[in-house]
Amino acid sequence: MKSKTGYLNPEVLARLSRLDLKARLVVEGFLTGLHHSPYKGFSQEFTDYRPYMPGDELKRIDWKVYGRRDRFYIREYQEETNLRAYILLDKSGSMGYGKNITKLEYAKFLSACLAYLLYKQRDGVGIITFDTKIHDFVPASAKKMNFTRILQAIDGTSPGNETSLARVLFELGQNIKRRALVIIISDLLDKPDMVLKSLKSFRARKHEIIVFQILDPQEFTFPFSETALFQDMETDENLVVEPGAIRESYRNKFKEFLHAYNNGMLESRIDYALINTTEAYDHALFSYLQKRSKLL
Amino acid sequence: MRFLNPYYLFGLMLIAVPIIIHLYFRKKLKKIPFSSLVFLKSAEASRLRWLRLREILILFARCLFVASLFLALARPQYQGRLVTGNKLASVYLIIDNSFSMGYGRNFEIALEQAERIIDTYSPKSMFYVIPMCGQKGFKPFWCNKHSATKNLKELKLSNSTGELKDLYDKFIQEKTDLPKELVYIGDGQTINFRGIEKLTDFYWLRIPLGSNVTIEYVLLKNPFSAPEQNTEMIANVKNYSNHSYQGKVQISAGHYFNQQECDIPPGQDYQLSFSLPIAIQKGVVQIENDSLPIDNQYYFSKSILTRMRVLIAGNDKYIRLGLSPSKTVKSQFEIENAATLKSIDLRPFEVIILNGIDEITEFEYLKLTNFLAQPRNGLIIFLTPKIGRQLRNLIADCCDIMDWINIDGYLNIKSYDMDFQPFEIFKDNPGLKTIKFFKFSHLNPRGKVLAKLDNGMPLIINHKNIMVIATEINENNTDIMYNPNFLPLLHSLIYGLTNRNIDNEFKIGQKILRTGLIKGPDGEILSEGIFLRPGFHTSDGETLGVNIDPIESNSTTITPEMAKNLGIRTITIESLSGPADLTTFFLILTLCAFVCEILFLLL
Repeated sequence: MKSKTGYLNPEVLARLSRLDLKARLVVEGFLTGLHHSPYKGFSQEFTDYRPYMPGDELKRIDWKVYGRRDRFYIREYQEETNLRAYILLDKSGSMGYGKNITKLEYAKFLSACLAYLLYKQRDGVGIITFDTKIHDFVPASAKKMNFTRILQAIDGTSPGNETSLARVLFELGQNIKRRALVIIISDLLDKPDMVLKSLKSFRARKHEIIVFQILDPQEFTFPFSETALFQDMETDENLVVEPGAIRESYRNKFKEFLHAYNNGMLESRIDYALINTTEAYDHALFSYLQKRSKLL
Repeated sequence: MRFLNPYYLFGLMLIAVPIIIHLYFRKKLKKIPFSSLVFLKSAEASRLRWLRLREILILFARCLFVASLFLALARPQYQGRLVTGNKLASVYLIIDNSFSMGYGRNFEIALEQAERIIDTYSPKSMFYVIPMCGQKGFKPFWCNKHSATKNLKELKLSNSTGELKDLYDKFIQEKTDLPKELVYIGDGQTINFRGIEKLTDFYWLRIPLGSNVTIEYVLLKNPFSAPEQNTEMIANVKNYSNHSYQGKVQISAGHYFNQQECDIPPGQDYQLSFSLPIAIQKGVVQIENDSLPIDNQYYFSKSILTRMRVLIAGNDKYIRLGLSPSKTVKSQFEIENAATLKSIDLRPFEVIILNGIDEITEFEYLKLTNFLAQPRNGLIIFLTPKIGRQLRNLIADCCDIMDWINIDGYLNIKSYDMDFQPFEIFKDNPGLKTIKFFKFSHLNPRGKVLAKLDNGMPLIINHKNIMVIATEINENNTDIMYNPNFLPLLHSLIYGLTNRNIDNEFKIGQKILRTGLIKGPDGEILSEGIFLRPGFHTSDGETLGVNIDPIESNSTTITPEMAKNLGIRTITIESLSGPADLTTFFLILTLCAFVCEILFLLL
């Protein structure tokens, strides 16, 4: 079993650190637009003064008070989180598909990155894993313990049954009372109209939604050549397929499927990113963040 | 179904191989887990059904390939259901080898089917292979399957007509340990079943009889008139088939040739008339386009009559009128009359007729004995009610007469002996039997009775060249003279008596007695005087026309109802067996299966 921190690719995290996420969140309003008062929600807030004690950092001395009182006082800040974010990680059977890395593995890394990102900015972050129903539910919190639990939840996720995104979103609608940022990481291999309908209703509750659709490149291109027995990873159904004969038809159908999501998301003003598993995680995050920043 | 190489049938177990391979590869088929089949299904929808079907078809083609290959190697021989199916029995196997079986391959087919029938019986069964028509040198005997098959190979078409009755009677009398069965393989001509009323354990493998048109006979139109320049002849052609015959009938005799188109309805006769120059006495009448070629030619040979010198001793009034009825037509007979034979030189005469003479002297007896020593001379005696000892002695070989012969009213002729060749011209002539004669009694025939009266008494008795007629033609018995049939009867008797045959024609199988050699069409010598094949034969400088018995051309066969009434169980060739060897069929099937498999794989 991989270390729970194994999902946090150091290289990725290093690059994310350089972005100075917190600053971005504040300055550029990344994500802050998603909650009620972006500026109040800055990471630290003054609570009290206390006398300087040896060992305190000099930079924390309030020099204005020293000017008035000629004594050293340290300003006490209380950490504050305004953003509640929920990562919805699809662990359905289809997510277990992937050539070099499965979609679920990718999604798990991505979830960890995002969770870490949000944790770093002291936002409350929770995670929900699901297939046809909700499996793990870690409520949103900025505490380190909570982050640990999130990582444990991510780590313990393995491919499950069929997907029922629409149903899960409905259930979540019941559970998430407060306005929140909902990050859906899924391959969305479900009926687009049903999924979009659920997303719209979710959106109607003022939740902000970001959708990462994770797909394997083989799902786009269908590169198989010899006749094979294709097995549905969700239903275990078998089908003998001659790839050469149906490739074009498959591709067209798949394009239509993606097109349906793309259009539906645009219509509902839902942030939607199509990511394939060959893309580096950071690249996926960066591309999203850049896109997000352009939108804001 | 039987197999010549049954061990190859074990190869059928190899059918399991393609099935196992199919299932193995189906399992072995690379299994690719895929996220969702939704798009594949929608893309495959149209082809999916075909792919599944193709998979099954390929498997079927492979199994068929293996199965048909090994079935072909096993050399299957299809054999239909037999009536007798592997039964243990004593089997009388009668093969119809009459000439009518010469249609196409009928006889060969009959032998082939006989072999099949033998093969279907139990190996312990016994067989008695017997040709329906006698075959010289072939002696039937009870034997096993192997010998029976061997016996079949010795059978040949026979020149004689056979009847089943005699064979069936013999079959009934056979005492065997095993149950008896009689299988008759033949065309079932009605004539073969003559005299049979009921049959049991009788199976008939029907060999379809072809249609036939035959020349029944060739006759002189007026055999008893001396022709001046041409001889008028009639050829009678009969259509025995079920459909009209349209073709040509032709006659060729020397330089003479005549041809006629004819359209003969089914079952009808056609008469071809032609007029031959008097010098031509033999020729061939021929039918074109007929299914049984062996009887398509009729070889005729006629004796054109020359004038005969006839002496009538006694009452000549009425007999002279009978032999020379017309003053305008020249008679064939040169007739002289004498009261007694005493002062007459008999040597110039060929026929002497005694009418109303009741006794002869010893000298006359010797003269007549010398006269009769010549085989081509003849003596006809019309009996008086009372005859003397010398005359009685003269005719002793012919008949024995009591002292008194009573006259007791008129009687009709009841029957003729048709073996007496001159009587053939009276065939189917009922009018002749209405001739009335006086009834005689106390006449015991010793010679051959040629005609009988309707009370059973003999009327005409013949021995060598003496003929005795048990009546007298005189003023009290003139009725016969006014019967139009008496004249030909008298002519016939005279010609028959003197061995002057009008028709020198014989049938195959007929035996004739000649002192000289008889030579066949190719100059071969008939050692036993039995005609074996059609064509012109020669004997003592005479030409003899030999033909097939027209009865063999009669394609009338017994109907299913008749067969049922007789108790015959009919078998047909179709019910007996199908195609003999199915090897080719299975080889083709193997090839087809292979081609189909390739096609399915390419599709």
